[in-house]
Amino acid sequence: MSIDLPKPAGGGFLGRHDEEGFIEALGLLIESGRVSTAEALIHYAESAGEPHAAEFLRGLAEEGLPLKLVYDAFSVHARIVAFKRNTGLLKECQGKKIGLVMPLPPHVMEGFLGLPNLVVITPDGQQLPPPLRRRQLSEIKGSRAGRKIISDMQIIVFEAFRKDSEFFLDQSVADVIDPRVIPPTTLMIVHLRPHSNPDDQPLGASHTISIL
Amino acid sequence: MNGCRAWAISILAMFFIVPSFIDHPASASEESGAATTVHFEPVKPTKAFQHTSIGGVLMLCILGGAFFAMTRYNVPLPLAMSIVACLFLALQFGESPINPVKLRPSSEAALVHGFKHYAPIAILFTAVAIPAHMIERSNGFRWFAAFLALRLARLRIRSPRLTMPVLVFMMLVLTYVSAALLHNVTSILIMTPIIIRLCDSFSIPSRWLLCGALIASNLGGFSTKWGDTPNIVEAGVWKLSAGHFFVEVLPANLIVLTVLSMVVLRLTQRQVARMPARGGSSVTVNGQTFSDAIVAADWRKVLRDMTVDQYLLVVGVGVLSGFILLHVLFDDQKFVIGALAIVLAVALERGDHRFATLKSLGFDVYLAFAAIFVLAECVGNSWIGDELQGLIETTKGETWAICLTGYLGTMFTEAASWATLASGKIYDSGAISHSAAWALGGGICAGSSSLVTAASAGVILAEESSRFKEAHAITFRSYLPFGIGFSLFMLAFYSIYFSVFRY
Repeated sequence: MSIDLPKPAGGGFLGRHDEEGFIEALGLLIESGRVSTAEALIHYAESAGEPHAAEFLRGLAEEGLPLKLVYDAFSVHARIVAFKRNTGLLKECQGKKIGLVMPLPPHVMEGFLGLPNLVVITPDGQQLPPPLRRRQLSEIKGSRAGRKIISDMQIIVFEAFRKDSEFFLDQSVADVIDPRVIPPTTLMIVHLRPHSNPDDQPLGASHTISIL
Repeated sequence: MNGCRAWAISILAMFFIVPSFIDHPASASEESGAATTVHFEPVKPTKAFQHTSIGGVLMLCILGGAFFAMTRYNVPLPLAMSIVACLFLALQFGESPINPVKLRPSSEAALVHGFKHYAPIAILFTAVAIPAHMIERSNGFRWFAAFLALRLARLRIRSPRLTMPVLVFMMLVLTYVSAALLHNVTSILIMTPIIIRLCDSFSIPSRWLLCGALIASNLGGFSTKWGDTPNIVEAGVWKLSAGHFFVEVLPANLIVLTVLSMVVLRLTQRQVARMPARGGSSVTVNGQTFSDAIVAADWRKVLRDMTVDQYLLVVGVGVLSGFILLHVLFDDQKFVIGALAIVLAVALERGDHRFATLKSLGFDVYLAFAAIFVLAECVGNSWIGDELQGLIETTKGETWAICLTGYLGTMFTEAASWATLASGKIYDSGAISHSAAWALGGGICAGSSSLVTAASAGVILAEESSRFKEAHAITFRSYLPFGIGFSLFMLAFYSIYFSVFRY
């Protein structure tokens, strides 16, 4: 296939959406019969503010591929881009002090658990996911203890809700992650959660933030 | 400040002046006491200030003042009810029987009888609340809400217009069925978080749906023998079986549920239409929104990311279903079963969370319940209670009168407490037909739906919804217009229905 792949913007293929959510959404539109042509799929991608995705889909559509194949090819490509980005992030974490701030889904934590210098910070009101409770982990319990140690971390992984370009943290997470005490060189890795919480607080950090 | 001081002086003056107008309690006590030791005849209460029309009107003014404070100034329900209960208690003059042969000051009798009704509720509701909160903490309800939301979101992609009607009907029917099978308080405890989470995800205002859910839970409770405390009381007095409830009450309640669903749907649609459009949040292509597909994808992600604490879920579901099943099978031993359910749930809880689990229901709920039951007892032993009982006796069991007294009695007191007070009186007045029981039940069901303070489920709804963000909190004020409006329809409907269909 002779398609020039668009260059990922800012380390990711998609600008406004996470890959999984975007792929799922397009899949649901096809499944429900709302999208029946490749052109409609391109139109959705453009309207959703994803020019790279639209460009990639257009390249496939111009080759005369049927909708299902266009979608499958796009889905595989977007996943490969996401995988490479995540692998790059994990490589960057090697040999650095990493703080995982709860809550995080177990499948996100699994990627980091094999790394040395890993600390799991459990703020007040949060718990380790049940499957990880019996694992031997270096755990810091409580918001106060977490705040003390967070400034020593070179990489911090946490969950956040993104609205437009702003990130929002759960109150308990915000109690630990205070951008004023975290060195500007610290890398923040965010796992996006799909819904906002009632007590969400804006992050307001000028640090480098990567989406997992 | 001066106004407050004047009020305080007036109230204090009233307590010094009023006792001089009442019968001398000592002499009454001596006479009654003599009678009890010799003939063992039941003692009669002395008719004091609270049984005069002035006393009754004063109590109504205090109650009205509390309702006004809760409506106008959002005074918390437990605070308002506690103050009213204390004032009513202070207005209990004279003496009343604490048991058939012993007269004590009316305030003491009201307190003893109020707590007598409160104690069973406290233990049974705690037995339900503890496992229900364990399920909530296990993410069980969140998982169920996400599961339903994903299906609804997929439906929305295909047929956007069906989302709201399906959500409204599904939630109200689920609340109704769970209240009928379990108990209306259990149903509200379970359904409140689910409704709020679903409404949140689809940006649908939850107010009318939560208000409707309270009425649906009352309707469900009224449909089965074990669904609500007043039913249990009425079933005992009129010897009603589960079959009687199924054949004679269920059709009426299903009609009301259908009307309720349509009203809730209409109000929600109206509120959505008034909401400002969210700029830039939806991407529309050919009339369809991409954001609908994103919402569905988000819910799938929620389900994938969510970890359910299976141990806590199994313990919660096990204890809750065990309690409900045994409670239905061995009604006489319900307190033993309730106590054991509490002990079992706390024992099986993880060590560092046991005390918090025991306090699942929250101090506010216990306070509100205690206040409402004492308040109800004081109202029963007053001019208001006398008038309502007089109405029952003079109309000799007319359906509309039973319905109306059930409605007003519940509104001014509390469902379980009024059912206990009125059932015997109505049955003894010669109204022994099932229609009389259904009229009382219908009146109590309508009265329970009038105010959040009128039934246990309302108090629980107010407390549970306040745990979420402010937009979802159902307060006395936010419920009032809906409750009064729909409960008056219910009152009229039950009065006509049980007059036409006689059992």
